[in-house]
Amino acid sequence: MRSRAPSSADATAHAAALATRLEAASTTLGRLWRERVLPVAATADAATLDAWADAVLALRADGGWRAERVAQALLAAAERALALFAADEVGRWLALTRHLHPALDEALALAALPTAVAAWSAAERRTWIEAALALPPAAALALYRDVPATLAGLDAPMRMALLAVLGRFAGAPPAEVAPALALAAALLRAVPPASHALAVSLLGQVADRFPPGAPALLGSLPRLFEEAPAERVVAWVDCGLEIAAEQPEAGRAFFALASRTSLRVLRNTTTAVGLDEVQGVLRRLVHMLSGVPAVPRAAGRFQLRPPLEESPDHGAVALPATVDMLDTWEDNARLYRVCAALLAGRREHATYAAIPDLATHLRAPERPAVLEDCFLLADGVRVAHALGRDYPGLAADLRWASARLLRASARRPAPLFDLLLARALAGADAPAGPPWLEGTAALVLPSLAPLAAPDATAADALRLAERLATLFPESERGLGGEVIPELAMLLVEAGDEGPPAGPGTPQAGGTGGEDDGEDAEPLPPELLERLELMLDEQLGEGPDGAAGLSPDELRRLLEAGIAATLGQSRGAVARQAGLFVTQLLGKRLAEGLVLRAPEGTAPAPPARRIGHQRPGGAVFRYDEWDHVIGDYRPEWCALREVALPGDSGLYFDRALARHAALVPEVRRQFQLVRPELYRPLRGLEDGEEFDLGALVDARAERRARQAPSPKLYTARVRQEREVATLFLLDMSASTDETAPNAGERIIDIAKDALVIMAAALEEIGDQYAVYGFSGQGREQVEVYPIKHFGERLGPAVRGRIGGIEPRGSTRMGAALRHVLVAMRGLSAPARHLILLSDGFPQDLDYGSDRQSHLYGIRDTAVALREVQAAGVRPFCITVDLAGHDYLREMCDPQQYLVIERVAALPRELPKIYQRLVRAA
Amino acid sequence: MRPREDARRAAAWLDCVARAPLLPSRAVHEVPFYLPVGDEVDIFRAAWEARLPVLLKGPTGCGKTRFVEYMAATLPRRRPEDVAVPGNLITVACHEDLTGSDLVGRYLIKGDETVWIDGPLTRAVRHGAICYLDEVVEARKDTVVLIHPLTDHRRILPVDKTGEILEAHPDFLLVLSYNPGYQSVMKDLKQSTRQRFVALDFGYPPRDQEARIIAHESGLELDAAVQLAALGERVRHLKSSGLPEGVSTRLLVYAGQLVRQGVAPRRACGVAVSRALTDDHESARAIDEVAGAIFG
Repeated sequence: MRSRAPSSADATAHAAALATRLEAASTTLGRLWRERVLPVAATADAATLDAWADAVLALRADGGWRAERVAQALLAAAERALALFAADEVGRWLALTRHLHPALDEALALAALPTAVAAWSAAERRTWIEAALALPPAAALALYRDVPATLAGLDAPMRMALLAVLGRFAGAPPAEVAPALALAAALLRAVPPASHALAVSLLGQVADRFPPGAPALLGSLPRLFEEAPAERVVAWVDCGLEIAAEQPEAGRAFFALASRTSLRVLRNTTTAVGLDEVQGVLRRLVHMLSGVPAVPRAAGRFQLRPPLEESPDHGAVALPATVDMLDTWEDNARLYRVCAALLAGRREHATYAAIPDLATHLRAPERPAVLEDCFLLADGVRVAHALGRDYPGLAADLRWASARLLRASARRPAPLFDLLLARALAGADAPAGPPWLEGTAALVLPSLAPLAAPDATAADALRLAERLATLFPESERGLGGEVIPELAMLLVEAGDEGPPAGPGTPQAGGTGGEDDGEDAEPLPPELLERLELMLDEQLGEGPDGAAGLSPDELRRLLEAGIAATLGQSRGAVARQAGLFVTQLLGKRLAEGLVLRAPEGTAPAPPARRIGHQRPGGAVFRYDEWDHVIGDYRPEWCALREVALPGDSGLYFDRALARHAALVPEVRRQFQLVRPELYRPLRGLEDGEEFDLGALVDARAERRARQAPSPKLYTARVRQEREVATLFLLDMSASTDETAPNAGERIIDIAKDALVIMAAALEEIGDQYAVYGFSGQGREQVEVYPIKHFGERLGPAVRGRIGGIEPRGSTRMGAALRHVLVAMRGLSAPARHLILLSDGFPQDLDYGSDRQSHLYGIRDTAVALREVQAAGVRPFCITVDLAGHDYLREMCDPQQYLVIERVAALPRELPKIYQRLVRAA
Repeated sequence: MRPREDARRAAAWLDCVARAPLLPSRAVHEVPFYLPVGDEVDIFRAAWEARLPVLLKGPTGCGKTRFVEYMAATLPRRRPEDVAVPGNLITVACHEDLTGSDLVGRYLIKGDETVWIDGPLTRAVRHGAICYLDEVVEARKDTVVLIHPLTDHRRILPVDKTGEILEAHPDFLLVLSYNPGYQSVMKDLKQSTRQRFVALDFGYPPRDQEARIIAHESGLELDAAVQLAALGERVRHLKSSGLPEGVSTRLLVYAGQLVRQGVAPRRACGVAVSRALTDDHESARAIDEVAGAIFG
């Protein structure tokens, strides 16, 4: 209890007087007052005592036994509470207990006044009560009863601040608030003390602007401050509030650190999505939707109209290397899926069947420059509608993507035709784009309506595209010009009253007037002149001082024109006027008027490779055999293990797709012959010998009148033998050469062979490892671990296989000795080492005589003998046709193979493996 | 302990066999639902008339067992007056530890007596039912060889433990099934076994028929069933890309049943199709995407 200056007897006397007052109202109350309040009356002042008495009497006046109970409880609590509350606060406290009523009975609430608050200042207690009053009852109870004890470790200003903020949690979902409150202090303490104030203020910000996120933010506080500096956290909160403004669910996930976007923003990495992150899923998606295997390749930026494939049969689909159009990672990934679906849709709906060699045809120099763009737009509409019919989920995705792109176009320029397609797909309730877009859309899109029919073909799209292209005659490629907004919309309005909206009729879009020819009477020349003037003025080219047409004038003109050409409907006149305008517009556009810069060059895809590791790792020293001195040179070579940069599995997947037929066959071959070992198997019903243990049990069972088991025999049964194989790949610079009679580099063929082996071995379950080697001189021999023995063929390994590239020289001896160490720890009884190379061992200081390979050959021969002595069986495969010359010297004839046709390596390697490893 | 376990199993088997009512065929069972995809019903009927043993080959969950049940329930018997087993069908699930005595029968000790109990194959032979050996390649070769005498013109089953040579009932037929897709070459049928059977290839039905099957089995409306069948068709495209079996009709029926129970379609496909089919994260996500595209 806070000590006060010993009060005068006044306080006690005052209390006694009040006691009398109370007794007049109720004897019980008066008695309680004397028992509870009088002894501690000295700690309060007169006003407080009055307030207490008034409160009690008010309760009494309410009547009813419940109020009486509360009054009694109030008095009972007086011992502790009298000193705590000033006169005006007693009322608030009582109000709080009434507020808590749904969650806790008032009397109990009064009794449950936490002891911890006694140590607080009055201001803190006031804040606390007010905060609790601001919350819904369940949360208020938590704040009232449970939270004060938890605030023990905080200092006073922080307590105040936290209490104030917690009171602002009223808008958050009730179920989350109470637990959050209980943990609030603990969570805050987990934050570094220097950041407490910041954390509390951020919490307050979020509680005010986005209440549902506040409990989530509270939970994330410790991690936030652990992972990022304070400024970053502030920026993160701002970002979260922006996201929450658009998508509340995403906002909640953001603040709970439960979305990828949230983590990326916190770590200040980009929310752009790279192709390698999603290409595995997208590849399968395209395969499933279109029925044809597809290999993704990176090409350019995101476009709603993906570029055409030059050779669609090759099964490659061009996806953007990275997508960063929208703000969150999840949204960008969704755009990737939309793009992949459109590409699959093209295959499914025979876009490339319009004419043979579509891409070349469209890009031919004598065709209009925008023909390709128009075709992509028209066919895009067709494919999108077809996909939407079959897949409602995709229809929703396309609408979403179009709407978002339209919105994003305000900040980032996008190609005109992309935006037109977005406008066509976005649906009726999409946000309106800029006026120039709306105008162009009104002109162009209605003509595309027939493509939404189920029987529209790519040839129809091509025809329409050709007609559309005349709208932009002789424009430069890549032109995205603005069109006249008001005029187009005017004409749309003007024609509203007639049959289909003014200039936007399907036939009117840039056909050159063929369809209107029958029923069109020529428009009055003045009308045409004024229209032309207006067009020029809108384009900014009108002669100075010429008066353009205002909307009213135009309407009057149109009506005059209608009067002039009797019998024509207003719509028809408007149509013709529109036609005229669009043709004129096309001509004007052709005259080099560029109001929007053409799309810039695509940025280079971000380099996603891991940097080449600085060889700061362990250095291994190996001896080398010198045939001249007939002895080892101790610790002659320094070898490092260098990590390979990965390509996230792109090469691996492509190689699998290329050799799609070979892999299952290889697997089948492997299963044909199995290396065997015999082991005894017990518990058989028939076999070579008795199993004594089972026999004894059976006898006992018989005695016990139970049916004995018939499984009394043992036999020796074949069992699989464990094998472990290490593939050592020569990554010297000479593998960069193209193999004779094959179109590819030797290293690529070797990589393909490894991919097939790995895929087949994964299935069968044999242990294997893959290492590459190269180097430059004896002080810098490099071994590149691609897959260790225990490692699974996961994305990391696949990426490393893709990262294999030609390097330096070929110092075989040191590499062999190094990988031998890796094999020593294996328990498999059968161990093999398969060396894949393309030439003889050579290095810049492999022996004193650079011209002679003898040193290297001898050293490698000795290394191979070491390998054999260690119980590992080596085998050398070379694609060097002259291999016989030196391999004969290095190892036994059964231990090497020269492959004549390099391109056959992927097919041959599994056979060799099978012969060697599985049949041995 | 194994002997005790064995004894319990044997006792259970004994009870089951002793209590199983021997009824005339087709007495109580309704005919199971089966939608023919090709001419398999006619071929099987013709084989039945000639009492030729049949081998059913196909991926898992494509309707082989259901087909056999259907045929067993609808085929006319030559001696209908003989009592037979319920449904006219005895199914044996084959596995690597399946021994000859599991098929043919064994002596069991009951109290003080030793009683001969017929195995499923012997019961079928004796009473004239279709004996259906499911996944026959899993069984050991020496067990499968037991059926050879039944599959040629002799139609006898030698039971060496009792010294009998059983002649097959006129209404006995042997049907085998297995899945040729993923079997390893070691576990293939020997030629001497294969060449005793008429072989029928089963695959997953085309989309419309599959939709009807799904609708019937799961109680779903036809539209939703068509969507599930479309999903199945799409996923089967991934045959060369890591899902060699595609998704079985059975899984699609499960998904349909979950939807019928009120599970959201996308979630039902997630648990019944993607997660059941593959552990590869990317494939599962891709299948989820396609399900999302189809169901919205």
